[in-house]
Amino acid sequence: MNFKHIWIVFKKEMKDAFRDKKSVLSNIFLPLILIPLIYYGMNFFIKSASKEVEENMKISINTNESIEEAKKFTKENIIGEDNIEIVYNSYSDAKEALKNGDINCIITYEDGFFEKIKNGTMSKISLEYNSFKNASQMGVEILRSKIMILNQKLATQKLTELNVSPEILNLVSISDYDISIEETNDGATRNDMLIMIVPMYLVIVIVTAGIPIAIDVLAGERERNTFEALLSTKANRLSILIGKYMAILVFSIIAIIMSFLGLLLGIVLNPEMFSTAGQEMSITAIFSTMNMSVGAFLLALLSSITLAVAFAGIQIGISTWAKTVKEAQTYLSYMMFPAMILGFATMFMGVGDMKSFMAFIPIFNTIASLKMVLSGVVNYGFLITGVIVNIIFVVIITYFIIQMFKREKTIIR
Amino acid sequence: MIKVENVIKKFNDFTAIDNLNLEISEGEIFGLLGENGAGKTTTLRILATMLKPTQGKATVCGYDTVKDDAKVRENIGILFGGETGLYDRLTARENIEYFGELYDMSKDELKKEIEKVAEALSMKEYIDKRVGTFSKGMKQKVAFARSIIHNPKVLLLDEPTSGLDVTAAVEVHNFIKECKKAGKTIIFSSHTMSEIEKLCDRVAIIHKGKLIETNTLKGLKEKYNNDDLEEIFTTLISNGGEK
Ligand SMILES: Nc1ncnc2c1ncn2[C@@H]1O[C@H](COP(=O)(O)OP(=O)(O)OP(=O)(O)O)[C@@H](O)[C@H]1O
Ligand SMILES: [Mg+2]
Repeated sequence: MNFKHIWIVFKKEMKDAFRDKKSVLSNIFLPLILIPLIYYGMNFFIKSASKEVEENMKISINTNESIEEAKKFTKENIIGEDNIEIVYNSYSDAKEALKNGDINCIITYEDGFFEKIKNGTMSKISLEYNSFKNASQMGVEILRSKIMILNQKLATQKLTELNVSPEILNLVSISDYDISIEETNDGATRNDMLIMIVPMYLVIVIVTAGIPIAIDVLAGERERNTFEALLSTKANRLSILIGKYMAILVFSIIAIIMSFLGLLLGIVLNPEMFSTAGQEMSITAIFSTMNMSVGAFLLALLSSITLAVAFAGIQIGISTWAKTVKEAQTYLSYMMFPAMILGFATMFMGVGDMKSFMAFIPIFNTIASLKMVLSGVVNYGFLITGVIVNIIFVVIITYFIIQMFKREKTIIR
Repeated sequence: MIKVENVIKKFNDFTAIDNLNLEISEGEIFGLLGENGAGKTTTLRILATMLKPTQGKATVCGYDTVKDDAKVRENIGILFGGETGLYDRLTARENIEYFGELYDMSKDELKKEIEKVAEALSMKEYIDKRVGTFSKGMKQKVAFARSIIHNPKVLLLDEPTSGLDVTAAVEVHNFIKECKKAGKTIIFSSHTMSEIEKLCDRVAIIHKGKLIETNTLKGLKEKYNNDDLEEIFTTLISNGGEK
């Protein structure tokens, strides 16, 4: 091993990697804007879809009462200021239009409806909609909530007439209180959304971030026919291997930091995206939920770093084994799966659901450690076990790739 | 300078080199002639320490290719033909520098040597351009420069002209002659006799891993009583080594 040679190889690989515009764009720049982009994209489509429905809503009325009275009632009491158009007078036309998605809903007033309303007795409205059409489904929700408001208004009116306080409509009120908050986090509110998303996202990034550069510096080197020339220089194989290992690691750590910053940027730009029901959502509120201990934070960081080292090693092994870049790409894309599966498996697990055997499974233990730190429930035994397991994992992988590099079969193919 | 003693190389059950013996002295250009699959590349790879002999041993400058592999690598420059390997995103200079640095050359020394070789191979105008866009001939020159930048005593050239046009091939030939003048020992593999004839002092003809003949060019002509070396080669090969 020769530190100078390691440094030379490392420097060259970094230079080479950063000159690859495509890879820099997709591994360094994209992770930074991905989360904000996804959020804005989703928001844009959802908002524009609901806006579209609200602005172009058309309904029909079906009743045996006077149609003019029904229209007047609908406009005054249900539609109000909103822009909802009433179309078609014939029920069969309306039905056809609903099928085709030309109107959103049909309101049917039962016989004697207006009489009953006047007398303050129970009266019935039915709504017909078409769940095949998204606009119809959204439209019926809009109408339903408008009718609920009308209902509330009429009930309040009636009670006032009878000299009864409208408060009797809410005789039982519910307020709930989560004891885990007090127990675990010095009373600060926990952010379940962050605990759900951040560990999973980070671990998937950790496991996959080094893939493109690992492919380039090993399988790519073989495919370009430079591998043999490089290995026949004075530098020994171990130095070359370590130089490349470091380059992959540093490149993936940069990518991981970028993804983390992207996540942070996402939170800063749209705190409400990361809010759980009933939580005040602002960036300060989010940070105040993370009153973690320094020790636990460092252990979780160590768990993440050892995981990154281990997977950089796996990427090296697979990329060296592969005969071509294409083969390496195929094999390495499978590597996403364990990360995704374990990531999604733990996604909905609360900190209380973490079992101690998870500390012995790499990926699992890192996700669990991150969840602990984010929630403030820290189990030091678990954290330390996880880190030790990961270090053993790293040692085993490193041993394997060193053996692999020594074998001529894997070098000359 | 280079010695191959009773070398056998097996890939699983397949014998690629079958009891090969060669001795090459300092300053010689030695040709390795054989058809596709004869074992030329495998022989050169053994000398370059990339493969270990299954049996027998090889030495370069007195160093064993297995026990003193680092010493051997210090003394050789290799150019393994076919698609020439360079780093496309680096400039020609950076490509050469990378290898020079790995041979522990100092910055000043490297700078001087690169100037020299760029001059000799007339590649000054593109030395600081990225090699991604270079023609095959230009790339081959850069690869050549890279393989001799550390001034090795021995050059192992595996079909260095394959895929080049006539002009580029002639340039490579001239450069090989220059290297000989500088006192380097060169092993040069090829599957065409005419190329060997132009450059080499001595030639070894191998077929299916077996050595069929080693001789000087003159010695070959006298022995087989024929002035046409190409003909000698094809007859030897078609006899499959049975003289
Ligand atoms: N790594 C390897 N694994 C298995 N067999 C191999 C390996 N390398 C070479 N061979 C076999 O050994 C034999 C000799 O190969 P070699 O590459 O040395 O031939 P060559 O003389 O260089 O041929 P060419 O003119 O095609 O380059 C061939 O039959 C080849 O298939
Ligand atoms: Mg060959």
